[in-house]
Amino acid sequence: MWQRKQGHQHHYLDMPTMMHVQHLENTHSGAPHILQISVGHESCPHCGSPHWEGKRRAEEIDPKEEFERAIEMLNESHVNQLAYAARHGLPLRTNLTAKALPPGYTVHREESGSRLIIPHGTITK
Amino acid sequence: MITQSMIEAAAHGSVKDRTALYRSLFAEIQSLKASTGTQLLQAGANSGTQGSVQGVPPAGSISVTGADGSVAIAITPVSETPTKTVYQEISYSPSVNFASDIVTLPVTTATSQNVAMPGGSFYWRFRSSYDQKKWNAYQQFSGVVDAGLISSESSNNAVPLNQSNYATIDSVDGGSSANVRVQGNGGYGSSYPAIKGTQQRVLPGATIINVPYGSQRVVAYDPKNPQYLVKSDLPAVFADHLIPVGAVSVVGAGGVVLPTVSLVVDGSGRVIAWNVITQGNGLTTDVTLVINTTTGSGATPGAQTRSAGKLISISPGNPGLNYDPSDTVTVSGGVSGGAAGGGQTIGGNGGRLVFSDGTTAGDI
Repeated sequence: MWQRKQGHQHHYLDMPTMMHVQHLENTHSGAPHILQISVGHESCPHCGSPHWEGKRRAEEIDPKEEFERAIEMLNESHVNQLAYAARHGLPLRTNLTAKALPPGYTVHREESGSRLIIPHGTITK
Repeated sequence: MITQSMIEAAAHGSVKDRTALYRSLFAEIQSLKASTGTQLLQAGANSGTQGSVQGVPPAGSISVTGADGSVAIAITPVSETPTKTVYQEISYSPSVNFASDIVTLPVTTATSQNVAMPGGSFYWRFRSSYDQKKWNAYQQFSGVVDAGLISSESSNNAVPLNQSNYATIDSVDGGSSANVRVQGNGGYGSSYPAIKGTQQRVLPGATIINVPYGSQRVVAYDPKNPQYLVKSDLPAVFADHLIPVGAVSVVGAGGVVLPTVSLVVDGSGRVIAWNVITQGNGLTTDVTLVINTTTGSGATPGAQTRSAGKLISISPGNPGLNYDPSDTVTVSGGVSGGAAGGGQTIGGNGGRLVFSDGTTAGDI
């Protein structure tokens, strides 16, 4: 599942780019994703006035709510993937950084050293 | 006089011990030559300190440095009197023992060369010859040499940059502003491969929240500080440490609503006008118009006028022939869903990222 990475290096406000950054990781696959909220406003290169139009001001943004909404969408896609794999009895190939096993799966290490997550009771040669 | 202890010391001892043994051997042979009148060895330029095999130049040394996408090779030959023409053959390989993929540069008498190989990382060696037939032993430069990438400062304007990626960038209505999404072929949440020079890496997908509706944006990745930048023009992502990923025409409020269009056909079956019935919303590019007909052919729309994301009018183009008044028009497009990467075709620049030519995100 997608979850926030902990630590100040993974959750910060980058002042030069005016971005609130939150790094995510998928515990099952090890895949990374980056959530960012653009909280600043670029300025017109000619007159210097900020570009307000079409964008919320920082005080109108609830980052927790925004991040949770994005994580929810990502997890919806992830759950669909797992359901598809379970429906068809497919093993899962993941990054080595994956931290958790989806329910009903076990780890199988191939001769090449790469890791395969296989359904319980699956026989492989 | 060479003794058994000298041989033992050379076999198990230091370079100094071996050097002493070789010098003694050389002296012995010279002595033998003098007493017998034979010519076994010729003294090299460093006679007394170094010998050489007859017919090939004495071994010099090689120095290789890499920077700015190029490798500079400098050979320091052993000076000889009288001076002879010495040919140098330089080769490189990704393998430390030159077991595979060896590339040999053209033989030359020059002792220095520059080879452009952005992102290349190789081991280097050379050998020398008087006649290009008999060569001395290879002398290998210690360690691998990384050419690095070409920096903007050392590049001319409008040079091609060898980088691309397989990202898709699109935008969705986030409620009060737009969200820009960077993703791989696997869909939302998937990573994607990116190539820069000869380096390939997998970059994370991203969701960038609170991007202005209806804006044109260029997206770049900062690998040093893992995050994305969203800028309003292309030159803003030209810094060497950034990886341009692509551009996106951000949706308007409420997302994209396509307009509806009908035809005005005269008595001869010619399309004399395109009637905009509803104007749509959130359009950032011209819409694509296709006539559904079984009889007509050749009609094309003219220029489209858009304002604030709405289609205002369509000029008549080629009227074509044999259309029926009941023929309908299918409308699609109207918004750019982003396009893959830094190596994509950029308007007017033949697929090259160029500096300061007025290119904006909208031209990508």
